[in-house]
Amino acid sequence: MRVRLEKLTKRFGTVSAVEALDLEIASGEFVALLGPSGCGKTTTLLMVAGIYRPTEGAILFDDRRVDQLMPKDRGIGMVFQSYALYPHMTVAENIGFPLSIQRGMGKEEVTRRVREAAALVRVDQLLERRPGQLSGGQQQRVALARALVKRPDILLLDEPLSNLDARLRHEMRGEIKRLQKEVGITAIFVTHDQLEALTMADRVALMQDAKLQAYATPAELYARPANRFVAEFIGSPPMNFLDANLGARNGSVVASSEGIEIEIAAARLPRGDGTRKATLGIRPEHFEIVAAGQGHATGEVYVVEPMGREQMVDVKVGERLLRAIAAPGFPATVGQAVGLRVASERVHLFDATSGVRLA
Amino acid sequence: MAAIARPLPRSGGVSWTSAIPYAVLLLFTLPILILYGWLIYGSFFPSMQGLRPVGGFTLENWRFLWAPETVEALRFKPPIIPLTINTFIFALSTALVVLLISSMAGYALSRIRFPGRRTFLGGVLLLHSFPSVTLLIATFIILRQLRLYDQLVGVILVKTAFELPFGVWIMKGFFDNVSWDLEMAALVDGASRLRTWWQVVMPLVKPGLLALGLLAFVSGWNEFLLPFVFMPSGTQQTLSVVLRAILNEGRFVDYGLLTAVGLYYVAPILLVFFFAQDRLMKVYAGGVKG
Amino acid sequence: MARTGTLQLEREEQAPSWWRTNATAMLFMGPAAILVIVFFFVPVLLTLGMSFTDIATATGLSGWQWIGTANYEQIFRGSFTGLIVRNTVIYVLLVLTFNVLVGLGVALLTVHVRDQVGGFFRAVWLLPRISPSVVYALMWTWAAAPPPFGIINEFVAPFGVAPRFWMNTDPWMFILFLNGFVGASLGMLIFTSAIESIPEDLFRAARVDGANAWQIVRRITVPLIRWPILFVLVYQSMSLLASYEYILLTTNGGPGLYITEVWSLWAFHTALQSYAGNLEIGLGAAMAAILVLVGVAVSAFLLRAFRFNDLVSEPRVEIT
Repeated sequence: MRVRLEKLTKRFGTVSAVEALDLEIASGEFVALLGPSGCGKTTTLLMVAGIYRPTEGAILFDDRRVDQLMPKDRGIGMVFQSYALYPHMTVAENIGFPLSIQRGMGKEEVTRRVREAAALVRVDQLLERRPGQLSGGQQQRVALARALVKRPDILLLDEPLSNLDARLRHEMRGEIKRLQKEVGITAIFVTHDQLEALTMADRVALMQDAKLQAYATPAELYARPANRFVAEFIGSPPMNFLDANLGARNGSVVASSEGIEIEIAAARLPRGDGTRKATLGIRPEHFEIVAAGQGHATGEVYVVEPMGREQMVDVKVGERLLRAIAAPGFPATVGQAVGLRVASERVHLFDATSGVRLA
Repeated sequence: MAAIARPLPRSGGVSWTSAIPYAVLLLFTLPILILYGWLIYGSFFPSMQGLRPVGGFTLENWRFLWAPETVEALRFKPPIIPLTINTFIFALSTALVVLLISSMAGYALSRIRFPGRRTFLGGVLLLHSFPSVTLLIATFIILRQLRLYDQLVGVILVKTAFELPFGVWIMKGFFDNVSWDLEMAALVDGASRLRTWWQVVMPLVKPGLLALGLLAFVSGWNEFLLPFVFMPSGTQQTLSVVLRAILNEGRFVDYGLLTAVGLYYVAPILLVFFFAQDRLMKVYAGGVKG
Repeated sequence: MARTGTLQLEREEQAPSWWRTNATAMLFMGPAAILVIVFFFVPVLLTLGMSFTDIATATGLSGWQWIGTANYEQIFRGSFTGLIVRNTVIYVLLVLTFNVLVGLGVALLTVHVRDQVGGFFRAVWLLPRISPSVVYALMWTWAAAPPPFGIINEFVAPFGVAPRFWMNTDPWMFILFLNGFVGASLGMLIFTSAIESIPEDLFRAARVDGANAWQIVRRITVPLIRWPILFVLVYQSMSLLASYEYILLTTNGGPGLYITEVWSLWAFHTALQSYAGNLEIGLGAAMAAILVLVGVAVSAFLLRAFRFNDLVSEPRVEIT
């Protein structure tokens, strides 16, 4: 089922939680609503669920307008951050609860569907337990089964992994993704964790301060962030930003900042943007550490943080710290003079004031 | 918390000063302990002169249970067993109605948006501290108008109403503590608010229901003023009113009988209190404070 | 396809009616609202209204007339009014002082001693409150009975006090203890939980600074629970002003004419338990009306001062 949000707005009193959000989710697509806390992502999800009524705008499932409908009439299933399993019911009763409400479903049919849903998420051995006797991961699976048992058109997930420990989180990330594709259901999930969003979702809607900042595939978000906020939020460790002046030289543009000069192909910039102030963005993983005097900048090693698979190296260039990633064996010692090199096509340029992407 | 203001332990064992608070506490509490101890003790002797029983141990005072016709003071009073049943019915009905109405209103005030919610919340809180006993005169007129005067139903209604501000406030507090996620989950799963309340939220506030139910039952069981004023003619009388009538008969009453009936009347309360005091005390403290 | 879409848009755009939207809330609130209206709201208005009438059982409750402020004038000119006001002030002040001081004392002592012991004593102090008022009054009546029955005489004899019938000879002292031991538990419970919510570190710090137990109580504990103390003071003085059940069950205003009659009991006697046979409901209502107004005013004050913040949070679900 296709989901369309049109100018969706939610205000609590004078505070705007979601402002004129336009979003279209294709049938069978898995979309992440990503953003820092308080950005409006959960409010958006609760409006789609029918828990909140929009102040303005519309929600459409295919071509049916649903924003005045009760949650039960929307054909949705939802998994909550706390799983929200009913503590006084067994696993089987929990999964069967949505079916028990629907009229006209026989007892045997309910039992069959409960078993089917439980098998789908592999909790069919736990049907007689109570939620209190389950591990976090098992509770999560039961919550998924309960959300899917009535075969909804849309699956909503609110921070589904945030209560799990790191190892389980990794496991459930794959599990939810597998399930979503297997069932072929349209799914929206809310998260504040960019890694979850990038690894699980087909497309990511990045929100900040009640507004949509970007809506694109994970690869696109990473490779061509639409503005400075997106660039900063996506990627870990975060991108380095430098204030720079742009100037024309020899048919190309040179971005110069304190101690750094990088040539950028003029063709990448829109016409007329040849000379002005801009913000340079360079991801740490795109810096290459070279011998002092080589590359685009020279500085001295400030901090080295070995992380196992790689090392994070902070290099002091002038008064600024630039973060770079080096291979684990790289011999970096604090105080050592090094050079930094970056491929010019890896450099992002943003407008200095509006933050909008230039190139 | 026990460590509050307790002197730091010193080397050389327990100092005699640490016994002072125990002694002071015991001294202050002694009157209550004596009163209750004496009630129990005195009910098993023909009569007491001060602390000294007159005569030997006897169950004579308790014969109102098996031979009420031989008890002089009860000759023109309703028999005890039906009185007990009346009192039980009164207390139980009050408790059940208070539970039902309080948990409905408490749920709405905690969980549902509706116009006038703030006003009603303020009203409940205001009534919570309002001395309802000042309204007895007007209530008398209202019961007469509703033709509920001198009937158990009328007294139950008044008692329920007077317990309601407390009950609604307590239940609202319990509902406030139920996770919103559970409520949202039930709604998304397709339940109506009514079903969500009954099937999902109510089972989760069972401790609160139990505590409020016990409290309302105890309060109903103990009630004297309302049946005394609103049910004077006697067919549906309760223990308190009859016990008061015996007590009021003058200076030459049979104290042996009175203590036995008194103990018989208070015993269920003491039992409830013995088994559920922690719970009751929490609700008392929380309820009065808000 | 697009066309049906727009049609549906228009149909479902209509917000549900007010009744539909609030039906659930009305269902849930209905029973409570009816009881509150019938047994609180109407009685308050009725009390005020009747206080301007001569309604009485002598006229059969139906043949009443508006008589303006005659009831109030009668109260203010009444020859016993001065005595009853004096009684009421004595009663409220004496019992309030006892309640708050003893409640505070027991709270402080019970948090001071071992947990189980403290819990036991708090439970004992709660006993009078959860016992039937008739049984509690019976115990005190018997304890204060004339010689050779009463036990109070036995306890005071070693101090050279002559045995007597306390309820008759010292009715105010009797009423003070009777009400005091019931009422102290309210303060005790509230103060106990207030003291227990004070961070332990404050006491530790004070002890490290060299304060002794008394200094800690006076300089730290009491100042930190001043709001609960104020609440108990205000709340309990109002409930005492309105309460008369224990007096009714024991001295019933006596011995003798109006010796221990307090205002609320006076209203009760006038309107509902008159020995003269005629229940002067209008006059009693005027007496009660004054208490009702005090009750409303004090409750409103308590609401403003202590609880209003609790009202702020809004439900997080916008469906009914």
